Amino acid sequence: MQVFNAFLRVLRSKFGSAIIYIVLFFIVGIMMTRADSGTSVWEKTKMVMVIEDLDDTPESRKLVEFISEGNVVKDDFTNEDDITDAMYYTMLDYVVTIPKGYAEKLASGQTEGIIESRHMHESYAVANMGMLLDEYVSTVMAYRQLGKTPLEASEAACKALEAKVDVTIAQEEGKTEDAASMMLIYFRYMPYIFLCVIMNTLCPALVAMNKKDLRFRTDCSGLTPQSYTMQQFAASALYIVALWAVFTVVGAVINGVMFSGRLWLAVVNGLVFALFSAVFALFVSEFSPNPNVITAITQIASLGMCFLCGVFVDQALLGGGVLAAARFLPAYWYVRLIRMLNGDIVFTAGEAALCLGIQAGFVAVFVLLTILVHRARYVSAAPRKTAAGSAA
Amino acid sequence: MKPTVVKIDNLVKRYGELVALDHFSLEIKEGEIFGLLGPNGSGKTTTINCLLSLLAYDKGEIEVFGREMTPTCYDIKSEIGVIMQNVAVLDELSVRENIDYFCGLYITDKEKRKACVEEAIRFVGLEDFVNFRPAKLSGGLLRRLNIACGIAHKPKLIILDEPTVAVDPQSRNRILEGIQELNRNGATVIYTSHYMEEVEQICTRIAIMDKGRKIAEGTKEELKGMIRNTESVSIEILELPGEIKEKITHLPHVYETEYDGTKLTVRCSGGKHNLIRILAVLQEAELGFGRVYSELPTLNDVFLEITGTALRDSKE
Repeated sequence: MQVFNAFLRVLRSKFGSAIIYIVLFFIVGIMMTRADSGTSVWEKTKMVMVIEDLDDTPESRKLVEFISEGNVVKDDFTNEDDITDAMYYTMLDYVVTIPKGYAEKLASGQTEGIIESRHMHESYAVANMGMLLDEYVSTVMAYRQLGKTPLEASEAACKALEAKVDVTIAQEEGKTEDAASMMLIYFRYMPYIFLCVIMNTLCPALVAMNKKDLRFRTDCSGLTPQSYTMQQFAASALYIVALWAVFTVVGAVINGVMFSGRLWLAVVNGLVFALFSAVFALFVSEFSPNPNVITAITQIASLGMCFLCGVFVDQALLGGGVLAAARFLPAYWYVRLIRMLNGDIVFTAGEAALCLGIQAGFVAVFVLLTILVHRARYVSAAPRKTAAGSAA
Repeated sequence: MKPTVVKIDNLVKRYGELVALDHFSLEIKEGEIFGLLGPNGSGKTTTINCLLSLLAYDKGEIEVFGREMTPTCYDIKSEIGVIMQNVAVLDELSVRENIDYFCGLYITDKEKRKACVEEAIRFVGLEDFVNFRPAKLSGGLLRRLNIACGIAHKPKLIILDEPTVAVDPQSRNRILEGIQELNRNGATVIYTSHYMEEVEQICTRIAIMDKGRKIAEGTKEELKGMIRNTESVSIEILELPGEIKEKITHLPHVYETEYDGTKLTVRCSGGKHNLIRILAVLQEAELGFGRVYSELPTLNDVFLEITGTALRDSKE
């Protein structure tokens, strides 16, 4: 187990360069969890408005009282120009004018031009206020139909419209629960961290262990090449599985979830992508790049793949051309499965298996490429035994 | 009669059109420090690589410890220690960890290995640097670490391929003394170098290589006995008339004279009192001269006489 132990020591010495990624990843993970802890408070938007009551009747005063509720009513404007300026500079959202004859129109049942309003900038709150005024007038008229006087109808409308309604956010069918959803968001970012950490640790460690002079020295020893390779493979596998387990468990802890049901698929998805990252690191290491080249490849591969495949930006927001290109990258299939598990797209067992299978296919392809490169660069130079007995 | 440790018979290695080893043969007995001397590109490292079955060869046979050497002879390989020209250690491990790692490729028993590692550290004098990373070591200390990694498992056959290249004189002497000590402890040593002084200093038998061929083999005395030159007399002289040079050339045992305008070199073959006879001629002609020195032949003279080029001047 000499190579195994030495390889782990070399890996440990390379781990320093990956710590910054890991720490940042966990900090962001914790911040995301804290940012959405399920205690969201919904508040009505308060509008800054001016109410001009030109009718000044009990009915119009009732309307003023209704509109003022929950909004900020300004009464310090002396002329129209000031009001227009204030609206222009967004210091004032809305102006309501109750024209003279408002009470009479209520009594006669006329609604045309019964309330005037103006605003300068469109918003949900502005639109909502317009609908509220229409609703108020409709409600008063409805009470008038029941035989109430204009004042009684106005009072009844105020009471009816001020009733509060409890709002609950309905869970979309197929959508996961909140903590699990946060866990899946955490999982969505894993390709980036796996690529960065594994490329920055495993790749330089493999390069260090397989330097030409070192391999020469090893080949001169009593250790078989098979044993050497197997020990390196075992150490790499242990490292990858440990890394994957740590990220998965820490993710579960900071998001407060217990793995169950479809979340296990996300865990397996993470393992497959970690394997891909390891095989990619192995492939790159075959070219014995120097540390600067490794860093450059890591940045290009991790950032490029994550931006293209929807790790950083949701796949729903990416263009068709980008997604079409991303299909040729494993991270696309990783994210697609996460989206399926999160209920963003329809989950089917077949397509989930396809996502995992394609990623596994990428692993197989890079293993094959690594073997080919290795044979071309290394094995072809090694001696072979001939039938005659001498190395030839 | 001591047993043969290495036997190379009629080895041929070609790189395309280039013949790197041309029917090269060699036999090394147990307990020898065998020197492979030759200029860069003469085939020394190729010989070592073929010997270790790290390189395919076209023709010939190699036996180590009386058995045919093949790439899968791991039991034979485990009895060999290799110290190459380039320092091959792991930069990420300390001095002790490096020696332990390479020793562990041969010795699996932990206790035995620990003792071997400590002994190797003491042997190369790295006791004060055991926890240092290679990057913190000087060039000489790195070479010592390189040697420790190659000999910690106490091999019966040690192959050193130009281990003193780019090493300061102090470290070089220490390395050479170490090699002699390893030999005294029972190891057979194959030492390749293009530094003839080193080979002369430590090797009990020497093979001189050039262009993939062995051009001479024997002890240093035997090699020097193969050439005409037994003494080279050099005299610093600013004026030397042609007739005087001619007179010296015709003195007994003198076979060659050379004058470059400031120094007269006279090469003699056998005989005694050559220097006195040469100086007598100069005195008789009333010619003044400066420093006078007489040198015995070196391996460079052997190489020069056999190949027509100086060992140091040869190019790859």
